[in-house]
Amino acid sequence: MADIKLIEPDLNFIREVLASGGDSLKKCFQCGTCSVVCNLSPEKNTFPRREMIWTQWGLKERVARDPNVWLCHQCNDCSQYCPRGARPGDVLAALRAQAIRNYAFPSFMATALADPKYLPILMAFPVGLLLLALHLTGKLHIPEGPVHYANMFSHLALNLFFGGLFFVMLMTLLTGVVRFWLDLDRENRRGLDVVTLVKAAIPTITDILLHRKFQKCEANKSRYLAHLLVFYGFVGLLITTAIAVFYILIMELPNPPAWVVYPLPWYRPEKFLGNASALALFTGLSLMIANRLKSDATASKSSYFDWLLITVIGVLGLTGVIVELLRYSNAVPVAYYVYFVHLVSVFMLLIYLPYSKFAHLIYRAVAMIYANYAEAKATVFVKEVENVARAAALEG
Amino acid sequence: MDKKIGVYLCAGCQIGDSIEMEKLEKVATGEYKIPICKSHAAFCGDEGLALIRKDIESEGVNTLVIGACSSRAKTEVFNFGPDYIIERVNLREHVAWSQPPKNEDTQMLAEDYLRMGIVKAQKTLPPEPQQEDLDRSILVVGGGVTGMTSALEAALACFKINLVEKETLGGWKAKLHKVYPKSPPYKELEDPGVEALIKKVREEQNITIYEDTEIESIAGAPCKFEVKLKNGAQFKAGAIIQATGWKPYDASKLGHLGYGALPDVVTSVQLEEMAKNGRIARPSDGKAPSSVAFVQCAGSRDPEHLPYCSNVCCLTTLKQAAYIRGQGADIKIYIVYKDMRTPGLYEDFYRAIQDDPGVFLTKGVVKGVSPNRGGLLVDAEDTLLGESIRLKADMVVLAVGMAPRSADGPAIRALMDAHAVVAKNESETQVVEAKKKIETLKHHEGTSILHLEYRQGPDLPVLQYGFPDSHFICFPYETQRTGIYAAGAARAPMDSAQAAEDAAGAALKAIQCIEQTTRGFAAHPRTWDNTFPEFYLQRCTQCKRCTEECPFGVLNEDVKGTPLPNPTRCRSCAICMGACPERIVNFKNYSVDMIASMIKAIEAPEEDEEKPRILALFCENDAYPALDMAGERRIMIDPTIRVIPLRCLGSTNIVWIADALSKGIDGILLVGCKYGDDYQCHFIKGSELANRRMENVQETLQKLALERERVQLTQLSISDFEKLPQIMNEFAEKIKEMEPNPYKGF
Repeated sequence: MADIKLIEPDLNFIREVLASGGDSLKKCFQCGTCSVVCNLSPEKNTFPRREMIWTQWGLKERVARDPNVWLCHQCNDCSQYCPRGARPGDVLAALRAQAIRNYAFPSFMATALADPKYLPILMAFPVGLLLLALHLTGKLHIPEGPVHYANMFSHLALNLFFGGLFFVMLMTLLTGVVRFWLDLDRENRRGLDVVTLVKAAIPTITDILLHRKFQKCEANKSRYLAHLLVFYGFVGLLITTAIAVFYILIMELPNPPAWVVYPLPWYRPEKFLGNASALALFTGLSLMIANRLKSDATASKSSYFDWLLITVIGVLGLTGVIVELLRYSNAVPVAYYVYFVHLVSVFMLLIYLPYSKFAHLIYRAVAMIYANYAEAKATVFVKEVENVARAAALEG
Repeated sequence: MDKKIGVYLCAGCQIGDSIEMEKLEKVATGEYKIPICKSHAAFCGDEGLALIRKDIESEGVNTLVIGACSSRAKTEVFNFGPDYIIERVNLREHVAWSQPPKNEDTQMLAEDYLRMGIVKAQKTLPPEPQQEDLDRSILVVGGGVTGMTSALEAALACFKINLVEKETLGGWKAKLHKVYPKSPPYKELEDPGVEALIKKVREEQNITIYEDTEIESIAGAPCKFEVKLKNGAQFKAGAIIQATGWKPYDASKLGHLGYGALPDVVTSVQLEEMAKNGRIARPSDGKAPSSVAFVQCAGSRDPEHLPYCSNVCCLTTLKQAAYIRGQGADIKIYIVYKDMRTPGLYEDFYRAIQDDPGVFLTKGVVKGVSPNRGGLLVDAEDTLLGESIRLKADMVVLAVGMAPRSADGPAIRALMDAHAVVAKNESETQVVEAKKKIETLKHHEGTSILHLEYRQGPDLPVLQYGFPDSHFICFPYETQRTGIYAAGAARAPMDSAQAAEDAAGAALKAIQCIEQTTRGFAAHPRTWDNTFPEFYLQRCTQCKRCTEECPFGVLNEDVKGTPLPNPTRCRSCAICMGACPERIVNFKNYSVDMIASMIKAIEAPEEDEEKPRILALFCENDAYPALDMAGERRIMIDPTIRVIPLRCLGSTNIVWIADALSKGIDGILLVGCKYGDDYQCHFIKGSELANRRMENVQETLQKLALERERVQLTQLSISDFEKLPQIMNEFAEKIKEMEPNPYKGF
């Protein structure tokens, strides 16, 4: 019997999955309906049937390094058709949460983000840091005059603060992502094929930008629109922020052009982009919340992990809009308090990224790129073998 | 009996529109000189019946030939009591409804049927009731759940029971630690609760219990059984229920799974014992296991071992998994199965155990169990994980199947006969043959349970897997011996809930047998039949055909080989009548002469008239009703065919074929029930015997320069009634293509 594998189930892993939204896991009896129904499942190497039994058998390593877990977009078509009520869609969501925990560095951060009892500390930390920063810049008081947030937190201080923390976050995120990639590519003995990688990345990014995978959902068609709005809402806000930073920098120059103004008045097109993006974000977020609150078979089961991200984004967006409105109405000192809360939520969203559900944006993208990369390499490999064979035939 | 025949021809249900009633009456009055012959538009109505009753009272008619609907229709209407002979001629389904109306051939068909009916009525004799001292008690062999339940059920119906048990009451269920749930919500294990049942049985006045003993011998027949026990007790019995249960498959044959060589590989039976004794531990060092692997279908569903599924092993494993999981939250249970079979609502129990995170299930084929530093490794292929896997386990449990505790009666008899041949030492070749037989049969030595004093064997015949069963849909709880009923795991692998139901069914059958036999009727399936085979032994040549061919072992033998009939064992199929070459076996209302006369009553026209004639012998169990059903659907049948219903195709005597051919009949079609492993034949091998006899007949046909195809036997089940007209018409076509019977007109 070739290739027999010693199987040692990790009972604790199973218990964790059961506790984090995958409580219906053990109902699966491997009929395979889920893999047949899933529109995102590739022809070969289908999912989620095997992931269900690997999880039932506690094969933590195998599941953590499985790209299929990330190809899933939680349409819940599978959960709708599952004859046992095993809800593979929800189990895979729990597996993604486990994967993020598995690759998180340092690991105690992942534990903190998964358990509501740590929430006070998670909020206290950025509050403390910001207060420290304000103290160090001598701004621990409400500034006078019309509302200018730069009076509380100067652009330089703000950018240094968040820039530096962001850099640290990127480093920790990268350790996780690189480990993830190496695990995905563990069978490979020939090193990274950069050309194929770039060739694989392009269609993946197109897919993501067009939300093609979401369009294939049948049970939950509203997921496409909801995520599209949130996604582009973010992108729009990102662009707006980049424009703002750019303008700030320009304004430091000796002779800035007249049309470069900061802060921007409401009628400017850049502001319009920002507000429209915020509207898109809120609409998308509301749709997501509505989806999670409905009670039929297509609804996703939501855990603390899911709600935390939704709440942080919600608070972020809300405080962002309020901050803008309070600036226009010069509501002192409320504006600055809300601005403080806004900064805390920015911290919680961006700096905790590698440990929260938000990490899906990088893990899913990497897994999707890897799936295309591996397929392209396999095709290349087959072509190479054919070439060698042809050459040999010509010689012989 | 002084016969006064009356012929009554009904013109209702389109019979009058189909044939000329006056011409038909002439057959009775002119050809058979029967003075009383009347027609009516509807004999089943009040007016028609009054007409018949008037003739009975005033004219003294005691033998009625009623030409109307099928004998299967309106049986309660045309029932004038046991003192009258009634012959029903089928002019409706077999003539008016399946032939074109007002047609010469239709008329000839109706006339032939009336001739045959009159002849049959003339040859029928009234039955002679048999009065004797008949016992009404029930012997139950086996004191487990099945035996105790059937005893209680019959006792509550006011029957006296003798319950014989080899050890003590309780059976296998008393040895179980817990049982899997038998009622909703099917989630929790239950206590076996056998003590309550045992108490009820011991307290029941109608039940006499004999424990710690076995059967010594059983002689006799239903309602006349003479039972002797090994402890000296003796009593009579009316009917017997065999509830001897099961034994686990012999695990010593499972060496490839490590049993025997590795002490920590145990069977599910051994595991249950450990649980009952309070603690499940490894036999090698007495430590509690931290992981246990269950191998399902160990020696089951395997042509090398038990080829069948035992129904309860999957549920037992799930139950035992719950036992072990109860010993520690981190204990791992692996279950490797071929399929997970939890029938019906037991699926909910499967779901409950599945929900336990410490139970790991996969389909797979276990290839081997090997030792590993004090523990065990289980290797399995073709698993749901998509690869071959190796599992570490502290113990391995083999879920073994259930084999019946029964004995193969005919095999034991064959073994005894072979020993007798060797002992007699008459012929070299015979002794060599006998010795070969002994080799193949010697494992049956000493296995007898019932020790019946029946010539055909001391126990019940068994079906293909060794279970003393019958076709369950057609003949539930019956065995191939009248008055003896198998129930519970002795009949088929089952759990205690099914066994309790089985027990009630068998008790009902035992009661049916006693009630029928004490009234002088056959037990089943011919419950209306109170005739018995009569042997004119002066002309018996001791050929032993009847003794061997009787499906129910009715006939014992004396020293010379002369048959000794035991009438209450009989089911009145008349296979013995068909077997006897000397034609010495007959029934009062069914004899060789009767059917032969009916065949001779058929008019076979001269060759130049080009009207061939076909005789069809139909078994009345499936074939005759199928023809009725075709008639109900107005499907046309070839008019050359004359159907005679028989009790069983096995009652066909070869002389009828000879009589038919010499009468000038061109073809003979026999239609009866299916035989073989999945038999439906109501008398087990009737159609099979007829088939064998017809094969011999075909050889004779060839010698007479007649075509083999003139005689054909077809198997039919009643659900195939739509095929029957096609079968009959195709046979008729085939016969028409042949030359007419050269013996016509002799």
